[in-house]
Order: sequence, then structure tokens, then C-alpha cells
Amino acid sequence: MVSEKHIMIEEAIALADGRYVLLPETEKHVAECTDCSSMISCCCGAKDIFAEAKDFVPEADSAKIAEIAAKSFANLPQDESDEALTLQTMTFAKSIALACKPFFAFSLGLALFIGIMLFQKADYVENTEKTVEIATAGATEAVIETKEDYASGERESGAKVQLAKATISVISNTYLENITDTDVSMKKGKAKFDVVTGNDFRIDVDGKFLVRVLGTSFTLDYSDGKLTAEVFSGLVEIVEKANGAATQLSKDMNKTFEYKDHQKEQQIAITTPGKKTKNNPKKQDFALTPGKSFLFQGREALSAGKTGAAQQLFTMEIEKGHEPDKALFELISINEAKKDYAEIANLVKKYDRVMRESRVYKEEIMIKGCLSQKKSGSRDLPLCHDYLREYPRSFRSREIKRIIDEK
Amino acid sequence: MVKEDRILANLDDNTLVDLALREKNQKAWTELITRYYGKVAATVYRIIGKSAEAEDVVQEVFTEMAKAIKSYRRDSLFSTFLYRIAVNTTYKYIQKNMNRNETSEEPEFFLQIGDKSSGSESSMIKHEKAQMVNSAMKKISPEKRLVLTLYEVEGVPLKEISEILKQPLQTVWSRINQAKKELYEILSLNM
Repeated sequence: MVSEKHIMIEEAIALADGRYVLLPETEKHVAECTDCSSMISCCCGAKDIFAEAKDFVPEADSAKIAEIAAKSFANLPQDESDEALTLQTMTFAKSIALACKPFFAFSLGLALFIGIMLFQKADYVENTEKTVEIATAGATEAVIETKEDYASGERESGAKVQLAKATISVISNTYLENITDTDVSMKKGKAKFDVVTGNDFRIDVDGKFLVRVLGTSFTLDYSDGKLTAEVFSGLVEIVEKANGAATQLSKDMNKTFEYKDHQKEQQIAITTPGKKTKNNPKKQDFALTPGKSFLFQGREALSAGKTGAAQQLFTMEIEKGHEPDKALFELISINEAKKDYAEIANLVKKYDRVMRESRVYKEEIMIKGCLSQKKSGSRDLPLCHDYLREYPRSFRSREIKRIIDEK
Repeated sequence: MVKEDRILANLDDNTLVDLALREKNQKAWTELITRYYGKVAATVYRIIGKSAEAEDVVQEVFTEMAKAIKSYRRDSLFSTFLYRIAVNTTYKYIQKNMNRNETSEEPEFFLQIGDKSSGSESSMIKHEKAQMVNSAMKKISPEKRLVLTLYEVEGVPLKEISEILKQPLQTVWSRINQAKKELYEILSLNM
């Protein structure tokens, strides 16, 4: 006999999302009811289509891409120096316009503008004749530059880079990039920096250190995460980006800084439970990847069949992560597959607060907890009573009542 | 020329951005767009369907990228920066066209899933399912389609969707649920 109560659309959605399990009686009903089974099948079917659509990328037409590239390239921002020059010109013309009659100011402004345009054009023609070698991934290719000293690339020992406010003298082959009047990034090598007094200048060393100077002379020697700074005059401040620690070096001081990969240090070796012997040391089962949540990595471990690691990762997500309820649900599901109902009852008791604060998983965890309490032989079934109090009109309350009555 | 193209293809995204921005290297810019055109187009088509208007939106995404490129910080991936622009531009398009009547061309993105010409039963079933999802997606509002696609297809976390759309987390969550409910109700009616 098929029960009259059909499953609701919300329940079918939750089932497709994997955050709902059918109770035995409902399962029986779904198996016999065409309406309910077709609703569940269409929800799950749509999920499959969505999953497949994720990997679908339309083919690219090269002519179309070239057109898009040309149009968008025209919208790239102007060079900073051009902007400053245009601004200066406009300010100057404006002040004249205030002082003189509009017509005179307009003529003067126009003449000035034409003059600057001609000057810039001449400068551009001169610069395009210069080429610099850009060393990238072992390959060398001539690329047209507008200003040689500001181009990214490796400089050989003895080379000099003359910037507006600083001079960089290369001592041993140095890779420089993102060069502006006030900033430069150094990827490797050794160079001497002479910064004109009164000018702020910053050197980003391989994204790991930041060197701030205010008019000084010093050398930087950097390779494989190790930076040595030697100051000849003025004051230099070196900031270790990993932890924000700042060190100031003044005249005749030198110091070596070593980059510590804190993220790597934080990697935790997750091992599966098992006996460790001399001949067979416990192997690392799963290494944490920084930047990914414990929950995400737990799911990865689970799909790789590393249940032990997954359990540990989900526990870490519950205790330290942002989505403890999802992790608790996953942890319960693992124990459910193992039919370890006592463990589920313990988990629900231990992480009671996580369960009660969850908007999405509360009901489901409560039901699982209630069933586990029953199966593990608990006397009072507190979670079943809690469930009836919280969800008196739920579709499943009838079954929970039955579970309590059976007890 | 070929050698230069090969070198550009081996450069990372940040170097290409630098070459385009600081050295006005148009080839570097074209290489960057070639790399991401497919992903951007897929995101836009999934949300508003494959149409002439959608192609304009894809163009707009890259124009917006050019305008905003100076604000790109190297502390996040270039793809994340571009993805945000793609979603924002698509969202703006949806908002602008919300009061308009039906678009001339309707979404047909999901129709491309499952090859009906292959003849195998499983791919025929898949294609049939895709057709149903496609027609159901057409019937829900563009705003709901946007959140549903971002959450279900693109796999964007709830918090990020709320940041992109500048809407509270709860509003986004309830909109996703409403969208799912509408979609599945339409699907079960058609079955």
C-alpha cells in the first residue's frame, strides 16, 4: 500500500543537492509512486546537465578575437606620463583663459596643444628605433620599446639603469620588471641602488620582500629567497611580506633575510589511523594545500578513497573552518556508510551548537542524529523529541513519532 | 613573427598585462584575449544564452577589462579579476534589459550538450534532458537564471555571489532556492 503523502519539491531539491536522505518509509513510497520518482529524477537529471555544462567552452573564432582585441585595446588607459602632461597643459591653458580674453586663450591653448603633440610625436619616433631584448622563459626576442631603461628584462653585469629619481647599477645579472620612476620589482641578481635624496623609492624583491628607501645608496643581493642588503648611506627599510616584519638598516649596516614559506610550513601531514612500525613507518596520506578549505580538501580526499584523511579534514573544518555544518553533515554521512551509529550520536552531541546554528542542514542532521540514537540503543532519544518540537508540521514528523513510540 | 607569437603564448598572464599596458604591445593583448575568450563567452552564454546580444556582452567584458586593467592587483589571479568583470557586465546587462520584453533570440546554451547525431542511447537521452533544461531555463527570470547558473553551473561560492551582486547572503540564497524550485517545477510539469 502506497502512503498518500507525496514528497515535496523542496525535498526533491535537497535530495538532488545531496543534503537529504530518504527515510525507509519514504523510500518505499518513492519506489511505488510515479509522481515522486519522476520529480526526483528530473531534479537529479538537471544537476547532471549543469555539471556537464560547466566544462563546455564555445569554440573561439580567430577573426572575432582579433576584432575584440583591437576594439578593447583602444580602451587601455593612457600612459601615466602622457596623462600628467595633458593635465599640466590643460591647467596652464585654463589659467591663461582666466587672465585673458577667451578668444586669445583659445588660440594660445590650441597652439600649445599642437606644439606638445608634435613634440610627443618626435619623441615617439625617436624611441621606436630603440629595441631591447626581453628575456622570458629562456627565449629572447626583440620587442619594440618606448623607453629602454623602463623595460622589463634581465640586465647583464655592468649595465646601468637610469631612472628619473634613481640609478640602478647591475653588479651581477639582475632581472628587473614593473619599472616606474618610484617602483621596481627585482626577481634575482645583485645591484646597487642610488636614490636621489628626498624621493620615495620602493623595490619589490620577488614578491617576498619590500625595500623602502628615502634617498640613499645601498646594494641588494637576491637569489632563491635569500636577500642581503648593504647600506652605504641613508636609511633603508626591508619588509618581509610573509609576516609584515620590518627591519631598518642605516649607514654601514648589512643584513641577510631569508624568505620562509609560511604556507608550506602550515602544511599538515594527514595520516590515516594505523599501527606505526619501524619497518613500515606511517606514510603521509594527504597533504594540505594552502588556500583551499578543509571542507573542499576533505571532499577531494573522500573522492580519492582516503576516508581517514577526509574525516580528519572535516573535523578541522568543523573546528576551524567557515562551513562547519556542511563538514558535520559529511562526517555523519561517512559514519553512516560505516554503520557506526554510536559515533554519529557522539558527533551530534559534541557539535550540537553547529547543528542548531545551521540553516540548511539542521533538520537533516537532527533526523540522522535521532535515527542513530535509536540504533545505538540510546534510552531517551532527545534529538527525536527536539525534532518534533522544532518541526511539528514536517512531512517526516509522523515517522519520528513512530520511532519514539516503538522505543 | 611566428617566433614572437610563440614566445607570447609561453608568457604568463601578468607579463602579458605588463607588455600590453606599459609597452602598448597589442599582440600581447590579443594573446591574453585569445586565452580567455572561450571561458568568458561560456560564462556569458550560460547566463543570457547564445545570441547576437550575448556576443556584444562578451565584447563589452573585454572593453571593461581594458578600462579596469590599471586596478588589477597581482595578489589575485588574472582569471579571477576577469571573471568578476564578466559576471558584473552580464549582471548590468540583465538589469538594463529587465523591463524589456522577450529577447529576439532565446538561450540555447544547454542544447549543445549531448550529441544527438552520435546515435548512442545515452547521448540521445542526455540531449533530450538538455533540451528540457534549456526550455525550462528560458522560462525563469534572467535574475534568477543568473544566480542559479553562478551557483549550480559555475560553482561560485555563495559569499562570492553576494559580493559580486552586492546583495545580502540570505537574499542570494533564497533567490537560488526560488530559482531551483521554479526550474524543477517546470521540469516536472514537462515530464
